[in-house]
Amino acid sequence: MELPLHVLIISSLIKILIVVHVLLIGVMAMILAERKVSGWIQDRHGPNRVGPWGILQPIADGIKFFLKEDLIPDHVDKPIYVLAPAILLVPALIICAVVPFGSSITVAGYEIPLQIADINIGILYVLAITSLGVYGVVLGAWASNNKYSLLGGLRSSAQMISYELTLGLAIIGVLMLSGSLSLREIAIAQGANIWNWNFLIHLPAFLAFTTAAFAETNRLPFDLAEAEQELVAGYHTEYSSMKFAMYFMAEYMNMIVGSAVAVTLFLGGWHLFGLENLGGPFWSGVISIAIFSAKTALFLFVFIWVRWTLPRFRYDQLMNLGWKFLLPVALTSIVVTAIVWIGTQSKLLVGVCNVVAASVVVAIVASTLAMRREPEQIERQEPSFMKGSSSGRT
Amino acid sequence: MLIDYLPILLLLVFAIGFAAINLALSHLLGPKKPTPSKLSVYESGVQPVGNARQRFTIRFDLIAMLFIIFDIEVVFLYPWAIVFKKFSESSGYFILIEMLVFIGILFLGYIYAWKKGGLTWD
Amino acid sequence: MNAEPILFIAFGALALIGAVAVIGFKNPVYSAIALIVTFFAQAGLFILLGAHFVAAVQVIVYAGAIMVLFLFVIMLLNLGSVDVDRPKAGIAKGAAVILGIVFALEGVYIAVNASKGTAVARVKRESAVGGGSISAMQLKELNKIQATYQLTRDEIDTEYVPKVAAADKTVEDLTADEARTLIQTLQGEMGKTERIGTVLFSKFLLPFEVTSLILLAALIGVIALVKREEPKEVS
Repeated sequence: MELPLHVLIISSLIKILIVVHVLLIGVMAMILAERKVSGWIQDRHGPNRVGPWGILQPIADGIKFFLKEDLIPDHVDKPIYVLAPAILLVPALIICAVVPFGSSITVAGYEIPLQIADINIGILYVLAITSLGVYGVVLGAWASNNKYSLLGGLRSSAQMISYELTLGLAIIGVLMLSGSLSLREIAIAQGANIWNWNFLIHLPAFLAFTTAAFAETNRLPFDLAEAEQELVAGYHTEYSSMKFAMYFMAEYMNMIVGSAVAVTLFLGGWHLFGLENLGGPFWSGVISIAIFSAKTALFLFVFIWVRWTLPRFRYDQLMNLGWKFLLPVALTSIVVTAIVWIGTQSKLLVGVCNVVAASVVVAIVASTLAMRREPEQIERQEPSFMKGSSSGRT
Repeated sequence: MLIDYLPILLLLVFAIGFAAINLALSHLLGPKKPTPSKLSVYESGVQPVGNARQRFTIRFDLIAMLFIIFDIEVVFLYPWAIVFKKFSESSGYFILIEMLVFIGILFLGYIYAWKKGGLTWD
Repeated sequence: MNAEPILFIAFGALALIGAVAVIGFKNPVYSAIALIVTFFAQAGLFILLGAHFVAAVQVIVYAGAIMVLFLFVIMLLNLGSVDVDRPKAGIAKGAAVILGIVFALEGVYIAVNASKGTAVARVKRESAVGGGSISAMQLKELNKIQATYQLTRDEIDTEYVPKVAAADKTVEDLTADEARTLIQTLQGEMGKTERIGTVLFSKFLLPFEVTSLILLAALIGVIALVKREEPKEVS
């Protein structure tokens, strides 16, 4: 159903305002949740001084960032140094445009889809904008003219592009069986029945996607770009005040939007046992938003949980995981999905065969790596930051 | 349809404005008390040694080049994935074989890169 | 209200400014950023043409992958502080100016003639003459679209004709105006990923498979360049 132009523009503006504010509040909530959950996992209180239970802490942090000195060091490349945080923040903000955060809501007789823009290349838009995130990092690192920044930026960008491949491959199985690039249609194709959700049909791809999403956001265990013990703060070492906060915001926004995309692609979007159909044309929309938010929040909790569960990778392990495990697993998943679907047309069998095939691939790769490891390689244990250092090729 | 992209354009304008306001506000609100040591390179508190912009290992470029090649492969998989269901109903395994030839040839390259140590960070 | 020409001019201007800036900046990192801007403007132009998939690929491959490599190479070679040698004066500069003028004239010539020669323009001119039923030229254009995109006449009749005229009409019953809208609709529709897939995996199957060989050659080239065997030291 086509909306009249003025309704389209007004509803879009309202949706944009709401989504952007939800994102910003989400970032604040994530910062607080991160510290609270970290405290909880480590058996301590976490922030509890500003406001009741410390819930005003992120606001205090925000005000502090604005009032800090906006320092531009002498040795930096000024225009790019100033632009780089914006180059990272803008893509992080506009990815959310194609994510459907609910079914649809009927207001004043118009049925308004709960999504800023439903374009027919939806998921490609997400990948295209994600691939721009590298520039904020690599340009900021280069402009800072600092050794820690440059090393951190290079590590981070090499890591981001490596895992982007996995990100791209992991979703292809999903696209094959839903036959559309539109995120809304992918969510609708999964429906209310949990057995139709893609994380069961494409379990290996889902795990690969999640791992790649962690790597794309530079979160532990993939935070080599800002490995404090070696690189101080990595690519944003020379950044302070709001410019630093923009890097921070972009990282958290990417986490939130990444979770939302994962929920849409693999976890049934706004569907949950038909609960989303309760109520009238207005309330069902509200319920669908609530379901979607709850699922996203659950996914975000996993982000924090993993941070305190897994230790940081070494750089060669990181590259091995990306290029030698996740890439073949994602490729195999595509081929297996194709073969089984053409042969049987059964989603159940596709799911089972995917898991079996992925296990076989992981076993083969692991045994190949174990066989090829030479004893001298284990003994020689330089810290990994030396390997990418400026001393030239080895 | 072109009109579908209008909200994205609006959001883009909004995002750029947001970033600009952030930069401008912190520039206006923050105090300015620069000192020579604040403005110098941060190198864990010691005197900076040499320039940061030096040549670095070629492995990063290797990763970037391999990424381009596999990225193009992935890009070809999207239209294939979209028509997969339709084609598989009309011509069965043919659509799979089309893609298997493509992936197979590139998989040879992948194995070659692996054997030559191109995927190993050592 | 038709915003298309305004957007076209905006994106076109952005692409040109970016392209000029690429050669204008002394610092190669700035040039790289300007090139990214140009790629973006091009993606915008592709969307205006209805080529959504190509627009996405433009950003994913060019802006997202190839430019990262460019930046890495610039940083690897540490070009940031090097002043690129420019021809100061003399023959090189004169030749550049003359060639530039020739190139610009060529561009103008093509731009002027392009609007006369293309099939779209011919169809437009014909249908602008006035009412009447679908013309032979339009039918020919439709047949061309049909052949290129592997459509059947039935598909056009059932799927696309109802969008521009009464549902029970077939292509032959259309008026010239309706036919023109139909051709425009079809041309817009054909940029969709689904159509590209349909054509790529039937009509252009061989070029597609050959692409993998080209990519394989590139892959082997990369490995051969970077992983050169170190000469073994005899001890």
